[in-house]
Amino acid sequence: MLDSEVTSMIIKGIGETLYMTVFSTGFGYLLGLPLGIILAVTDKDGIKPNALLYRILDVLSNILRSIPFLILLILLIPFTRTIVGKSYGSTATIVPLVIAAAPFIARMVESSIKEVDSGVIEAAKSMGASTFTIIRKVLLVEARTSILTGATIGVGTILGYSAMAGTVGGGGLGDIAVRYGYYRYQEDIMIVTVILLIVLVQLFQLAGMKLAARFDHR
Amino acid sequence: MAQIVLEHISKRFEIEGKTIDALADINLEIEKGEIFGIIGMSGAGKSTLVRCLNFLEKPTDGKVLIDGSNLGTLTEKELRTQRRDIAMIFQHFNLLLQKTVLDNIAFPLVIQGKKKAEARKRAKELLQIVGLEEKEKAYPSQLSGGQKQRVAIARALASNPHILLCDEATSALDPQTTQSILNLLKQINQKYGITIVIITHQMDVIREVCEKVAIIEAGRLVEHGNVVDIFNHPKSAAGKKLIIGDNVSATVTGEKSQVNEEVIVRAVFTENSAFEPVVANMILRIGEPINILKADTKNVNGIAKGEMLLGLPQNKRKEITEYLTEKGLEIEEVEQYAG
Repeated sequence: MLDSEVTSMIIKGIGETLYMTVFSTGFGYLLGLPLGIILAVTDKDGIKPNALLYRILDVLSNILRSIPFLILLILLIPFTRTIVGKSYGSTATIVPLVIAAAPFIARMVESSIKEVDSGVIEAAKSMGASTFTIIRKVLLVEARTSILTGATIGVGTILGYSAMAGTVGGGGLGDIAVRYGYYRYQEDIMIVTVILLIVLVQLFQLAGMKLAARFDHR
Repeated sequence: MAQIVLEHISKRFEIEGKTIDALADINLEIEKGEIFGIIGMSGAGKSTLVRCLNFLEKPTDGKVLIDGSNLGTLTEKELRTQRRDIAMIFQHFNLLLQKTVLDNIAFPLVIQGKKKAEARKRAKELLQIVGLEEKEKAYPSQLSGGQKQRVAIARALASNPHILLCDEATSALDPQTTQSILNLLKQINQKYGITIVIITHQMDVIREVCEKVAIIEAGRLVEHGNVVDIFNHPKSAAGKKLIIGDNVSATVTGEKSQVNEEVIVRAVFTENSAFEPVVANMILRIGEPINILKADTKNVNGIAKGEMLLGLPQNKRKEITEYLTEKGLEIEEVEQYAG
């Protein structure tokens, strides 16, 4: 059953899964990190409260998080086409993955930043630090470990979402598991791919936690 | 003009529709180079007051003048520059947990845009001043409370401030560590001439280091002046409570006194009068028993002050008070605390 054709397909699947996960997480943080910082800073207990801005971002991120990923994937097809030029394939899947991951990442970043001791922020203010300096040199530094732990959870979730990429021909391990295991009753291939997915999530989790612990001096 | 001038400072908070007057019409002047204490029970408003001095809290009414500049008229940017001159230390130290001791101390300089190497060089000098040279690479979690406060003091000194605000800086420390931190503050005051404002609820701290004291109760300034004067003759109810203490009533009502119709007086004597056995002589002279309810010696600004609470028979009260006053003791009735 695991002939060379299947093996090469699975290897390709691993590559596609990693490609989608890594780039989606990367771009997800590019959007989600600033968004999370703005949410934490503009909240009423934040260092620069702004009720209107907070409300808008709050509602927006909740709407995006409420839409099931499969629906989002289809809804975003025209948008994806304008960005990457086509609406199918691994690269095209990164677009909806990023849109789905960014608000989720923003919420995790927001909660990490809110954990920073208000006394430390007050101390920085008493030294004459500006809002921007406090964000850069206090909030992001003190919340570093918590943000890294969040990223570890984020990677796992995005990897799970990427399994739905098959819908738009995105490929990856999840796609193989669905196509062979669900549609063709080839359970052996399904089990192998699922085990590989588990191993990948475990590896990301382990690496993330190691990294977070290394940076933690509390 | 005094270095710190507070004119009619009031602060109101709106909490769930209710208005709370945290501070009401506070007027105070603090001279350059002084160690000034602000004491009050918790919730009296002293932490809010000290935050008005660097505008971490903006007063609702009134003016704060620091070295002549009115904080209320400064722009955000000017205020941030002004804050470099007004350092602050805290009860819970508020160090950056993810930075080393050295980088914590260098932090205010880095904020000001100094080069990292330059900031670290200055941080090393400061570590020496607070006696923690060997801890430069440690993280705050590896330090004891007293060591953390020393790091916080070094950090506060980094930008060469003119004023150091201490918000309950010794309240989380044990008595011995408190003593060593207070000594360090005293030393800094003498060596660099930095004005120090100490917020505390501990009378011992005020007596130990402050020259002047202000007593705050329910957002109002009820009494202020020299520590020695206020210690000898607290006038306000809050002052009496802080200095003489609540424990008087417990001592007195605990057991039925042997002395009939007892009057309680507080007698304060200095070193000199401590040589003569005043109380023993007095008993021999008037021939009546008296109760010593409490006796203690306290160090007020380096002068040993004896303090005693005496239960006297009502009928001999005048005679005894006259005798003790003649012997140079400060006498005061504290009868209202016996109930």
